[in-house]
Amino acid sequence: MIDPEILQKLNSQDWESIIPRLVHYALFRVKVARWRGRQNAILDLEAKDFALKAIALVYTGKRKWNPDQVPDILVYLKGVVHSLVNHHVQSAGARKRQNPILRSTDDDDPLDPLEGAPAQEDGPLEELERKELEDHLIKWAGTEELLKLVLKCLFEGKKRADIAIELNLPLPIVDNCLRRIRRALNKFLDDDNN
Amino acid sequence: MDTNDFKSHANKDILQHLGEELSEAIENDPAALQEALAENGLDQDKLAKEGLQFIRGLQEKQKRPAPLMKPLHWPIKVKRFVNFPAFPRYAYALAAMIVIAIATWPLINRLNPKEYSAARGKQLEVLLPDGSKVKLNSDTRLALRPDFNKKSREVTLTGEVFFEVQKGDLPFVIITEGAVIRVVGTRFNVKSRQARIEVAVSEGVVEVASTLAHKDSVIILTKGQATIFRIGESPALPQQAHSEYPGWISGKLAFYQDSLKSVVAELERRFDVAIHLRGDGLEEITITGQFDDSALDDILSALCQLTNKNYRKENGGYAIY
Repeated sequence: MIDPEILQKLNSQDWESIIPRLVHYALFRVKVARWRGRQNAILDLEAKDFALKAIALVYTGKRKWNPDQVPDILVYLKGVVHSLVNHHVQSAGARKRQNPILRSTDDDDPLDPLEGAPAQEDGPLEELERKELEDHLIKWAGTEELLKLVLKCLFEGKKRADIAIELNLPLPIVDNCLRRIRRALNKFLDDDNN
Repeated sequence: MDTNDFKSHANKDILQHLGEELSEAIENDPAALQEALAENGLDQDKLAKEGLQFIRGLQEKQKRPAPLMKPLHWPIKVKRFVNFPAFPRYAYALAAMIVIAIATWPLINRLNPKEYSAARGKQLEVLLPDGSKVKLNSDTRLALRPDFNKKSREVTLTGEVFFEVQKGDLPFVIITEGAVIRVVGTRFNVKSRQARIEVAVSEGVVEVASTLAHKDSVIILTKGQATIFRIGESPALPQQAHSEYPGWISGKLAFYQDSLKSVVAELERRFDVAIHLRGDGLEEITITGQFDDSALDDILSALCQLTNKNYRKENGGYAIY
């Protein structure tokens, strides 16, 4: 049962604006999961399904949003989507390994996003995948120094606002670079998935 | 910062980090979000509509607390002081709504205009709902999106406008045939006429993207820089703009390597008059110079001196020969 106060806050959200942004985020998560070679695990669910499922979990109180802790509902929902995609992939993997008669059918109970997804220790395969991705982006940036600088900051784990400060650039210019990198990354993931 | 050593800083959760930062850059820009969703075969409006319907379903499922008292039910009997003709109630309501709509429409329209235009021979200064100031040159139309300053600050331009954009969280986006210009807070001029686009920045930073050329044909202009390109081509590399550019906002007419044909078109718009070019090759002559825009005869006289031609009055207009 959801707290009436939280329900009221949920009802007052600008969902028309939130939903497309959440689906956009889910699209990327699904692409990454597919790229990591787990296509079969998530072919039955699309980005929109993950986004709506995340909203449903919060609305029904199964995932407890605490506005004091995470004021922006979109940030919280992104965490739920991330958790759902990971959980879905892991459940599918487990189902494959288990006897189909004995397997659990409950995949509605992913980890709480605030507790974080399980730390995925990078094995040799993940190291190779990441290296492939980095090599591709470095090659794609070519001789464009600005793009390479932004990529360097991204690889260092900097956020967009910090990148603007680090490189002494207006945020719209950083955003322009990020949009170009996003296109290149999406193309890379799509090409590989296909 | 050395750009050759960044592989050594490789972050372990790079894909997650990229996902968050790249998504944020897209999500803060309504036009980019729409484009990104469309690339994946998704329609933003349809998505929002479906999502809202889904959420309404969730809201209805929530259990309502039991009412503490019996709710009132219509119809409540009200004593009639006047005996109206026996029309159905909805007929009165409908009539009242129509009367209110007709009475308030001009007021609503004036308070919340969606389009501004300056006729030939006129210029217009407007304060937009977000506090940005725009000055429209002659024969120009500027249309605002219905949700301007709510979800986006997007305008569509045909003609020439000088913008003084108020800083704000939403990027200011100008869409013109063949180009999209994005800014945050700055002063700049956009001219989009006869398949040619000019953007010149007086203050701040502006991003110019050609929408009909290759996807990545984007350039950044900073203070004092300008670009000129034709629709379908990529924006030319930034050039230093003339210090007086754009002249029209200070009562001047400035031309830089413009053809006589486009100079004449500009004069026709500015003075709302027809000017004909009589003679072979006249249209292609290039003009560079600045004129005071107060007297057309003085400008024509100066133009004829520059081009070694003459002009005369003809059928209520002028002819250069």
